[in-house]
Amino acid sequence: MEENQNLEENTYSQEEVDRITQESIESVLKEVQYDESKVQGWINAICEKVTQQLIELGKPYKYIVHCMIMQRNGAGAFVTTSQWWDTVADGQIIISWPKDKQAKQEQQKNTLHCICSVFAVSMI
Amino acid sequence: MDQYANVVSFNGPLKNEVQKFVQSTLQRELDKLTYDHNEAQVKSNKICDSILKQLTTHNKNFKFIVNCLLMQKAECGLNISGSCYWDNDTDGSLTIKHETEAIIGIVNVFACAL
Repeated sequence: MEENQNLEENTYSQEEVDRITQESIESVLKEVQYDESKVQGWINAICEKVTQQLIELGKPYKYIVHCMIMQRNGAGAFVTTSQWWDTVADGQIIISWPKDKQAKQEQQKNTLHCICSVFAVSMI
Repeated sequence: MDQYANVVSFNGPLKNEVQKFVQSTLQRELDKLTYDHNEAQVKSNKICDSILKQLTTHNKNFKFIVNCLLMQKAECGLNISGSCYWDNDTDGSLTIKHETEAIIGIVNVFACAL
């Protein structure tokens, strides 16, 4: 029983991190239009919010939060990542916002695109 | 680079070495290239993998994360930011940008000490 408990405390939860990142992005970027002067503030806010909530989870992990906001202009872009780590204990989440379904429902002309990656590296 | 095989902290001489070979990798892969939607995926994977391979063969004291962004040069704004919760003495990161006439390539390397 003790072993199972330890396991739960020491591994991170994919769904939890997913939820935290989605909520942070939504709360900062909902209904905003791309504005050069404000974008720096939004991007810092997202990074700080996500990092704060991840630390509160209290798991033995180091976190890297990487956020990119791009103006929607028709230009193409590709993001890839490669990792050299422990595939059992470590993990990542990459969230692209907004999802296309969301944009159509809200009938909002989205002028920006946000890609947020969270990497969790185990300390044990 | 083998002289840095046993280094424990990413900040310092190891960082400079990594900066040099990431810059030369980007230069080699992106110069004289035009942005092609189909090839860009393959290209960015190739860049990531080649950098990761070079990193890991030279130093085994770290877990590495390599992030590569390839963007078509256009009239649009781009903002990137990263926030890290780790041990400042041993862990570190690097961001390198390489611009050509048609493409902008940005590579992030994050290293977490074991």
